[in-house]
Amino acid sequence: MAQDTLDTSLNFEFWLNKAVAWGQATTLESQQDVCLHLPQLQKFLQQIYETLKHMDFHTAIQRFPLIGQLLGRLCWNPFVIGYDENQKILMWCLCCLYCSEPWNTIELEVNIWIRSLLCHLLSSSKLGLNEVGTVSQALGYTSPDYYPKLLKNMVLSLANELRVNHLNGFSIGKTIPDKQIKAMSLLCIPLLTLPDILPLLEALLTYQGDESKEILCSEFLEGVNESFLQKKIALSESAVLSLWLRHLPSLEKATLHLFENLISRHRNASPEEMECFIKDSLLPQAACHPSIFRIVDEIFWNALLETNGTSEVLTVIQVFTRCFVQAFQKNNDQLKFPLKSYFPYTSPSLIMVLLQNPKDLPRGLWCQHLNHISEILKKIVEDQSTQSCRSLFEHWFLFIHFGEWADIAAEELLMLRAESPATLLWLLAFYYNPHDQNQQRTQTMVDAAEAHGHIMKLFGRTPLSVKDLQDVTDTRHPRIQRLIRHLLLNFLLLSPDGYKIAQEFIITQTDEIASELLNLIARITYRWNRLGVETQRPAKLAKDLLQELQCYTMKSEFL
Amino acid sequence: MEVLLEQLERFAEVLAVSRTRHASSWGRVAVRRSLCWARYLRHVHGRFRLRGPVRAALEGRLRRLRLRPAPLGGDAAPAAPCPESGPPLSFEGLGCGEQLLALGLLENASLPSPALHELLQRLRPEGPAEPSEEGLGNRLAELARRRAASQLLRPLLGSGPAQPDPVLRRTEAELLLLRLRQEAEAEPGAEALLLDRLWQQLPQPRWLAVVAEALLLPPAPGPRGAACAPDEDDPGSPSDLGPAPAAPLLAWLLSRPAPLAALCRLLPAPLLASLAGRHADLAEACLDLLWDWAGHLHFDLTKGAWVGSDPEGLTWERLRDCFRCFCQAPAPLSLQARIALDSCRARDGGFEAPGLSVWTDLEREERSDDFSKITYLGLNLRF
Repeated sequence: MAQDTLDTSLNFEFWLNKAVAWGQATTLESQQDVCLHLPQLQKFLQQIYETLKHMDFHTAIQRFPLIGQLLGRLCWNPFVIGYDENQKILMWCLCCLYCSEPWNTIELEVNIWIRSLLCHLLSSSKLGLNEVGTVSQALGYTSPDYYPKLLKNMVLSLANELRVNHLNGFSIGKTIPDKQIKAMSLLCIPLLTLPDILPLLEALLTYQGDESKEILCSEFLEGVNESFLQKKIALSESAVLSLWLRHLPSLEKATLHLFENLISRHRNASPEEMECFIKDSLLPQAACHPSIFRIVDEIFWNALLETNGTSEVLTVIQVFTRCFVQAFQKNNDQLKFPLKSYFPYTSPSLIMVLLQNPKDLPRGLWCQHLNHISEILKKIVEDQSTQSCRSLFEHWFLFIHFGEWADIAAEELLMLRAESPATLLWLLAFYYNPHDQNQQRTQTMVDAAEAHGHIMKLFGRTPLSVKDLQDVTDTRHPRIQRLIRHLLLNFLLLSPDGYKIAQEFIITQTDEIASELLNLIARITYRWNRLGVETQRPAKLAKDLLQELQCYTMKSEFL
Repeated sequence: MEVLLEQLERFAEVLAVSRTRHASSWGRVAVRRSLCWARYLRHVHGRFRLRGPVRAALEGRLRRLRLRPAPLGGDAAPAAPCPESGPPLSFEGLGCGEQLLALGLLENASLPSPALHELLQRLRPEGPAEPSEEGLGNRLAELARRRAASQLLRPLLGSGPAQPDPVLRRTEAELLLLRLRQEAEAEPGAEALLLDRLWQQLPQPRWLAVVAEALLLPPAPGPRGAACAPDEDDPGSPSDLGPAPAAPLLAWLLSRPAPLAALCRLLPAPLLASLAGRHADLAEACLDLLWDWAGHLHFDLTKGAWVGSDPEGLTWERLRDCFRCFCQAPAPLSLQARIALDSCRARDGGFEAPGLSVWTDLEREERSDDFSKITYLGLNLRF
């Protein structure tokens, strides 16, 4: 396309000028500039190759008269060659230009030039390295034999120096000045995805200087984070932790990346799959460090606000907290921070009581525990002296983290095991409507009790029809719609009659409500699996229902 | 099996020829065929890499190939491999045979254009006709990337052009041990021949530095069962070389007076002490040599110092430095050195006055060192 050709031509001039300015990237400025442009350069080279691969030498020269200059200069820039796939693409371009049957002097010379450039890229015979050939050549080895070894030894030596430097910092005095460490990090930027470099990356990331200022250059930290998020390098947990502790933007990016994965890209992921993603991201493990936890939490908080607390986000927070608690409890040998450092604005007694894993309590005691939670929360909410908007939402946010208890409350209400359903209803009401003022709350409680009663009556009714269900969810109580849906869903899963018409009912709902209900079902089956609850038949039925509904929604989206 | 062995021979020849001017007769078909062989043998290497009867048979055939004069069609070829034809092919070399071939062809100026063109087309993603051919371009690109990485990281290692580069030494030492192991597997006794040749060929200080490094490399981490697969990416890593990789090197050194003498004379004294501390045999040999040399020193009254009769031989300063480092080395060596000093001094008559016995004077030096409490930091200094 004409537009493309124009773009490439303009770009060509731009990149040729850059290549000339960079030279062999010996100055700090040129090095920094190269590192900044590496990804775009690779894209550009790919475009060039796509064009060149259909051409022979003559056509290529007509199209790009200065191609020789560009390729030649780039091949002598080790930053360019060391990055990702640049060396491959440059090699391909050179191979394209080679004349198979040179007819004149020019073509002969071009061939000689290409051959020497390829030799420079690949072999050791004309090196800037100090006599590296002598002994190795005498031994009969060539570049494929010793470059891997040489590089490995270089990396180990540098990583070792860093470690020693770090230890010596307090007594003998450093052998490596800070400026050189910064230079080291800059030099690693093109090499990030080369597996051999990993020990050096880890040594740099865990290096602590004396200064409180960051020594490593920020492009390095960003580059490492990016490569880690794209799974191009396999860093150890401690290296990732160091990275996130010293570079806030990386942590934020990692959290947002996880969120995007869970909410947008894998929308139908079950909580089990979410758990896998979350654990892989290393964020729960890193969050054992309170400062990291606070930042991740802040991002969750914003997500909640932006989406008005949709069910998907609530599930993510719940699963994340579960993974975090697991990591926290496993963290025996390292420094354990007090719980208060993770949730500084909330009452410690509430934290303790919410932290209780339902798995560790006999089922019969769940109601009692829920009552306890409800009591504490109620006291906090109704206590005039702590009644600040912020405090209220902090406590509600804490409750959201352990929202499993709210799910259990809904279930217990349906199973009629509660001595005082009002307490459990209050809990659920607070879960969905934290901002109710006193009078509103009283009204909410009345409405909720009525709805609950209505649903309990459905147990006896046969035959059950969709209309009966719709009667419950009509807009008589607009402010507690979500609470009602939650209770109704539990009914549908726990009662055989309800189960029969569940699918029919859910299909009649709007897309938004349907996905909320699906999300709830997923959460419920996840909990049942984890807690090994004896509702095995309902569990299997719920799973089947979920699968059928997911197929249905995908089909309807497609249509 | 016989077919496989034949192809192995054919490929070894081809690889040797690819680096010589005989490649000027190659055309496209020759290049294609040789790459095909290389690829096939790479698969063979991958399959039989873990030691077993097939691998042993292949290694045996390669061994015999090396002893046979290479038939180069009419030309009287020398029996020993000429340097320009590259190293003799080993079993491990089959693993990167394609790369070796490609590099050989690339570096060979006498290869005609159509032939090189054929090779270059196969490096491109669209080039290979079959999917099994892919990968050569990628592997070469990886090599280029590693080379660039070494170039980038080199300035950080801090050694200038005048100073020897420790990382380079270490790499060369590892390669030396790898080669020694390969030679030993090929034929017992071949290691000594190789080491003799290298001693003749390379400049002494360079060679001695590599030998010292090789002798100081850390030993293998622990006994490994035969079932353990060798490290594919790094065949020369210490763990793969077996429990005593430097044994042949040490044996050679101890059996050759000239290199041993050069070692004692030229190596920096602290490094010599580390070596001696690590290998008891070497310590004994060095002490013997030093004792022998000391006998050639006489006290020159006009200069007031010990001088040697042979201007090329050991100087008093060297003797003193060596003993100083030996006495300050950790346990067995320091004890050995001091006992040697004492006994030699006693043998000479046990004098206390300076200028009468070289041993007395040496011991006085040691005592004054102890008195002023000079310590060398970290006696395992590796230069």
